[in-house]
Amino acid sequence: MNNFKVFFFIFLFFGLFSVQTGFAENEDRVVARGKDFVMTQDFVRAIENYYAKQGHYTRWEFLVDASLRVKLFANEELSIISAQLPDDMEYGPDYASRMVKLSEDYIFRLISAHPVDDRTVLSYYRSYPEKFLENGQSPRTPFQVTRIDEPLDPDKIAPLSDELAGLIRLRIGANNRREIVNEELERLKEKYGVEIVK
Amino acid sequence: MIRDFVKDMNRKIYLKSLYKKSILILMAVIFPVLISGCARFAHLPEKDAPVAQLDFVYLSPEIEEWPDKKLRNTFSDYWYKRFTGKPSEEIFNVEAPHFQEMVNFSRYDAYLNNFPKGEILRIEIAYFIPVTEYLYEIPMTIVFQGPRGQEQKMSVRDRWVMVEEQWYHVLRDPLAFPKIG
Repeated sequence: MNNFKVFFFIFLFFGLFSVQTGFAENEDRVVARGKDFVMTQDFVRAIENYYAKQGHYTRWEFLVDASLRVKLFANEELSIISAQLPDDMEYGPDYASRMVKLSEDYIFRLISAHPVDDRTVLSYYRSYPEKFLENGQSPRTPFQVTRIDEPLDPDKIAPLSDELAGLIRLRIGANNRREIVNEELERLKEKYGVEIVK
Repeated sequence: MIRDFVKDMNRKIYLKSLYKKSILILMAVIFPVLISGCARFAHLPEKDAPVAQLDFVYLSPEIEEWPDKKLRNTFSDYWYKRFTGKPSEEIFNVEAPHFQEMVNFSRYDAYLNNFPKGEILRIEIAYFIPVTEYLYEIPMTIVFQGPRGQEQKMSVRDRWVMVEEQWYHVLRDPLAFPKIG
């Protein structure tokens, strides 16, 4: 009988312990926090599922970084367009795709605003005239250096209009995307005092 | 007698002081001219700076001379330094302005470190193609002495662009810099 009691209490202890641990695991753990900023594990999982559907898998640390970027950039975009997502919106696929789209809009905004001076634009325009032929035929194919064996007819090259200059600026900015994004991410982390919770 | 002596002395002192004054005046005039002359040399335009002398071989009989002397000088200096590998900052500054904006220097420096080094024996130029008013394409072969003394060849379809009266190299390497251009 005594043995039975002992076993009963042991089972009871382990049972309660596992139930408590289970609750703890189900809690939405905070992954990163700062001033007026909290990112939870559920948010990271939502972003993970979003990218997994597109076939992208990565380590947890990289996922946290990517999620942090999405959340911070999306928040900035929301504040610029004076909008907000519903508080009770669940961390489902719609939410994740909305946040990723907002963060991409913010990155586009950054790239568009990235200063590229006229000299740089002129340099790009003059260096690759074959890209600006008005008949639209660029002989360039990936991993191949373009050959031009004859002088091009200047009348067939599109003039450097403001619109074309804008496109060249975007092209150059997009190439510097990684640097622009990293710089802005560091700025926002500092602004909100964001720290990863270990 | 004494009066004559004093007069003579006064005249000598006067002449001596006049001589000193004239030297001072002359120095005051010459010194600024010298300084400004030196300042002019201190800001020598690139075309007057010493240029690496490379041996060019023109493969086409139609080629008689370079389309622009400034292009020849910048071209020679650039390729000489490319095969020396240093100073990489100076080589980077000859790359087209858009390239300098799109590629960070440390990546370019690493690229230069992996570029062949050696003494250029000659550059065989096929022809100069004036693609536009501001752009030349130069198919060429660089013959250089490799690290073990052997003769090596590298064929390049070089491009040079003029931006704000200055020639720049258009680096096109689809393997090292696939997103440029």
